[in-house]
Amino acid sequence: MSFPHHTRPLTRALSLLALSLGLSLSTSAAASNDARLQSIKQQTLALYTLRLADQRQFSSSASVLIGQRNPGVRLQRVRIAVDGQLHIDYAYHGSEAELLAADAMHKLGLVNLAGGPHEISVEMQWAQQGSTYTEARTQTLRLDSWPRGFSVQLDARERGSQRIAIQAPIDGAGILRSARFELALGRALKAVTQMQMLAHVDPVLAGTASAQELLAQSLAAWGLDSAAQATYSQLSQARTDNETRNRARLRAAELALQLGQIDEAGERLNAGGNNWSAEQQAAAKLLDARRLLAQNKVEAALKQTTDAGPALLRYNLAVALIDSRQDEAADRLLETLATAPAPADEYHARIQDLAQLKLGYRHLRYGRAEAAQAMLSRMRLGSPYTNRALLGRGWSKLLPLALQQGRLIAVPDDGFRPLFVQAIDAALRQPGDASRTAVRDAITDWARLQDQDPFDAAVQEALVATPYALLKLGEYARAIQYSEKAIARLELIRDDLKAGMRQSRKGLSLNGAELVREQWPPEPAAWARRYATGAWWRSEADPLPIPDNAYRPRLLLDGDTLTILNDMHMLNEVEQLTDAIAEHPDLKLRATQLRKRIESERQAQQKNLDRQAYYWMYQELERATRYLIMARFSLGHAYAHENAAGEQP
Amino acid sequence: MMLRTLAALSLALASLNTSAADDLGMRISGDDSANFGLTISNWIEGQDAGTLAPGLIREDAVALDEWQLRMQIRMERAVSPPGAPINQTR
Repeated sequence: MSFPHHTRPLTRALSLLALSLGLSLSTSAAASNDARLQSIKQQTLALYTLRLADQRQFSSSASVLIGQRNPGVRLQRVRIAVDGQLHIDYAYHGSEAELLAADAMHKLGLVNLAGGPHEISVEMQWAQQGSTYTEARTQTLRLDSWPRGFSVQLDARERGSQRIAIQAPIDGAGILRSARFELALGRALKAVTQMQMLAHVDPVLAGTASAQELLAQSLAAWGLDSAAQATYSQLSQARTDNETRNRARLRAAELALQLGQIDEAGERLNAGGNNWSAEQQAAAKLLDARRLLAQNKVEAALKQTTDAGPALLRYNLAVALIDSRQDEAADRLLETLATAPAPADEYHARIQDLAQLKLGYRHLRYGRAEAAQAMLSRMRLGSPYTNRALLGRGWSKLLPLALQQGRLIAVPDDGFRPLFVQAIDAALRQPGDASRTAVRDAITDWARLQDQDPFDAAVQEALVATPYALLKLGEYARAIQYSEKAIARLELIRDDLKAGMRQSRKGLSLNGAELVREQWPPEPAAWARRYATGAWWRSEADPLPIPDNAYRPRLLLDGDTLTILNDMHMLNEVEQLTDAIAEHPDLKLRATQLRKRIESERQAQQKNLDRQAYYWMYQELERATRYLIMARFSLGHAYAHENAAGEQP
Repeated sequence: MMLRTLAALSLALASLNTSAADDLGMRISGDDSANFGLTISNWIEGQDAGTLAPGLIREDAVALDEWQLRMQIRMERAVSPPGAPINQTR
């Protein structure tokens, strides 16, 4: 699993925020945040390299590498005592244990351990075939050689204490395995520093293709895209197997495209022959098509477009084709993604969901009602996009009627209205029962959204479109009932958002440093106690029991929020490394200066987070307000009709 | 009918401080009133009014970022109770 650096999409958000808040933040300020963070990262790595060069002389710390070699074993807990003193008591959670089972190793630090002989006692607990086992072993080792430390490895096929092997010194293979562990868990800096260490301990191993690939992945994950690209480029010309070389070519080209280096991307894709595997060939064609589109070579891009290859690359090429107005090719590509067999993993399922959603709405937009309905009906239940698909399916019921008027959405002749009003009005302008049936069909689809999370924009629209449709059908009592429900829910979330905005002005909305220090990236359910709201919107209670800060789970899923939190996590990683750097007497002062820069940057990132949270809530509040106005309009109108009916003799 | 619709809509959009708006339950009060002009102006003049897609939700396709997509899945799981369906909080 890799975590390529997410290029910051904050510029637009922050500049809009600056407008709305009257702040003097400019796009260049956002860019300088990035530059400052990059500079801190680079300085830290440079200092760490200096420190590493002299580590044999100055380090008083040692490490232990923990691993096991049986895929059927899940390590649960390790306790390590040195000279009778407990140094490590570590409980492994799910994904860590999975990684150890896949031959990765976990590195932990032991501080203040002098050279010479030490008595090492290890106790390991693991699960295997539904049972739990515990073994212990004690052994005396000399810890003189550098890097100081030892490895502990469980082999569950052995019996008794022989299952645990304790060995010194730490070797290059162990360091490489520990870098894989850190990278897979999203701790990219640790992976990079492990690879630096490997270059000192075992330069031959560090120069192998697999180690270079891991280094490039770690650099990319830590946001050093140019360094990653250079490493991949080098690897793409190295003496190794075709498969690895071509994989490096593809990643170098992808990074070049992300960095806007179009010519470089072309060079990587086209230099080096066409000895691709079938899968790599497809990926290369998809990337090349994007490159050609960026150079406005549409015909050539269409020739390279293929419906094979990685789903993400296909989706992103479809987006580039839409941007280049190549609608037919884009829709074809989305169709292959949308109609493929359901993927087994959530990541690929999401890409398929999005292909279905976007294609469904494109059908809707271009008046293809049946195709829209069929495509949106494919959406699985339990997707975060299910609500949007249901909303669109409701609209697709009204589309043929609007089309009969010779336009997709009739322009109302009595003033501006929200577009759903236009659609409903256009549908009902058709004489006969068919139009009323179509509106009822739409209401049936929207009915499933009535008791979903009202923070979801699709739910808000269904909450409000339903009473308006009922109003137009002349069902005033039901229109009143649904309007009141919509108003109650929209007011609840608006109050919650307004309270959040007040907190965010005071910087109390989210404490990023505290959050990422606790755990990053978070494990399943790690923040459930803190942030899970439960399905409060399904309660029968009146008023609905909305918890405080109910907006937060959605704020945490926002791309910009995640990027800032990740930046703050990187600062924490850098700060931890300064402790190691400060061990070197010549680097103490520079480590202290670096810590000051880190603290200042942390405060700057927290301000970014506050602004981002405020801007996000502002947008959410604005949308909810629009819908609230419409709900009140429907309510007022329905009451007026009811009263008029009551006054008639 | 059309005139009545227009009148009610006008009340909703433009004259929310009047007693008629109060009667209709359409009054927006407190700190929303400051935002209200902006909201309505966006509504009328903003890009939403010109889109062909029904509804206010735009479904524009934007390029996906692998890191972001994976992190969103991870975060959804992190803020959900153990064993909950992945979109429990959505």
